[in-house]
Amino acid sequence: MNVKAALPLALALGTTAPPAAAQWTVRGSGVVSVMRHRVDAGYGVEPSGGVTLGGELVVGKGDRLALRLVTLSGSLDAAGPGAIDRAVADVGAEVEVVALPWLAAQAGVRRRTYSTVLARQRWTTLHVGAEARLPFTETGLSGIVRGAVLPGVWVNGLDQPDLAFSVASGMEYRRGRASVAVLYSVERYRFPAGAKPSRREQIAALALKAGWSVTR
Amino acid sequence: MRRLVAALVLGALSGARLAAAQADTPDSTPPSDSTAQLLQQAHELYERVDIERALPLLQRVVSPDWPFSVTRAQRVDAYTYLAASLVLVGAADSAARYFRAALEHDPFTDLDPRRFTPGQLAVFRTARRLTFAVGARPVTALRLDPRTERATFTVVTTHVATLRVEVRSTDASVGRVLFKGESDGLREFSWNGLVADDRLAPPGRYALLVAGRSRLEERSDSTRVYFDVRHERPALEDTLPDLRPSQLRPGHYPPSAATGDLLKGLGVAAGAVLISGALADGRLGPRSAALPATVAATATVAGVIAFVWRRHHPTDPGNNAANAHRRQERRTANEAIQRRNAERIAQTILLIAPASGVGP
Repeated sequence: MNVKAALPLALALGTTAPPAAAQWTVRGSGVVSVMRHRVDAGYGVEPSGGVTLGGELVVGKGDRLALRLVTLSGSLDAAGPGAIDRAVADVGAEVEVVALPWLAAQAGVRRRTYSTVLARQRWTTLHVGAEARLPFTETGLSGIVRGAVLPGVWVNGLDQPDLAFSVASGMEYRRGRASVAVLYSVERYRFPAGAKPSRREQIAALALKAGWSVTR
Repeated sequence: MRRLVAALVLGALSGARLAAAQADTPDSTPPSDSTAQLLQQAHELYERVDIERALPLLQRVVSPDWPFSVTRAQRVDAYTYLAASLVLVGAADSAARYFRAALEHDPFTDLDPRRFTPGQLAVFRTARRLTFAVGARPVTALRLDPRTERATFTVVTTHVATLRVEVRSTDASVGRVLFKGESDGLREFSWNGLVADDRLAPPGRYALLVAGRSRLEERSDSTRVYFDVRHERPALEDTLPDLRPSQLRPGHYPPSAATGDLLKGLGVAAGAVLISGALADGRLGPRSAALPATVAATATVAGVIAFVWRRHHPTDPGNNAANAHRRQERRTANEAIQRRNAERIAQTILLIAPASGVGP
């Protein structure tokens, strides 16, 4: 779930305006996400969902490089039998390098915690991916498509997953210093069966972001 | 040992006697192979009015048989003193011939009235009337500020003539005319460092061209002196290049641009649907349609609106205004650079140095 939230954040990162060469740009954004979390640890699907709030800070140097810091937290309410309420908190950092005017490479690390009345589960993930921007003729309007693989996923009590990726799609509009974006993302994991049953987990999120940038 | 000392003393005494004998007989073989020494000896004899002994020495220097090198100045000097000596012995015609030879070798040749007799001066003037030649002094190295200083060129004609003096780049067909008119004798012309179009002479090789036509006889002569011009000034700034199309926003969109917007919107929508469908884990229960539908609807509506808008508004006034603003900024920046460069060019110093020909 938090991963989902992270996706919108990262997407928002990807939407950072390319500043003029050698200029520093700082963009701060608030992010509201509607998240849907589903996990099947071998005992049936446990759905939950809720709204998270977060923030994003992007520091860009020139039009080629940006550092993104994201955070979010919120509560996911049980949405089916067998599920329990949980709180999620997420923090992450990401570096973005613009390879082409419409394509940027991204890599980062996230730390997420799920807390329930029963236990607390900590996730640490590494992701490497790319984001494509599709600028419309209307200045400031862009489509966004991004994808990433997560080659490193560490969860206490679980082995490394044999499948882990995240994808997102959305729109962004910038006018002057202001920007708004809406993104849909999915983060998916599959842990192989071993001593424990196979585990599947997925976070879908719809994120709405509003930001303001300062350039100097 | 005593024999050796005695031999050395005898040798020294005989050498001294030989030197004394040579000094007493100056018309014999010169003491060395130096043309300068022989000319010096002739000068001394001439000053002592020992013309009979000076003449053979001077004739030897100008003779084709003279085995040693003779500079142009030495040859002119020999011709001049030979002519002056012949005047003193009454051979005015021969004297005039040698004066003319001196003038042909160096049109700047002249006689000092304080050192030569009126008769010699008269014969020299006759020779000048009979000879026509123009000359120009070599350019000396000079650091010239064209705002306040002038370069001076010295030109001469042997007698009255129509003269044209011009400074011209060796790469140009037209030069700056410094003088055009009648002239007689030595004359100086100043040059302000400008070329024909009144611009500062660019760096390069130049020639001072002197052409004259005698007013006394149907004869012409010309000469040229080469020199190099270099600029000394602060470095100039490069102006900014024109904005490339890729640096400008599109001001007018073809119909395909509107279609492109529509496809982009639909593509983003399809992406959201694809993510929620094929890429989501179907074993985790029914897919949530509301979340991707929100993005898909947003992207579709954006694409449709952009398509309709762009079809009806193929021109983007905002982009055109932004482009015009950028172009104006570029023009303003270049004008400032050009102003600064003009100020630096105005401070240009010309470095003039003699050169040997049209080019290396």
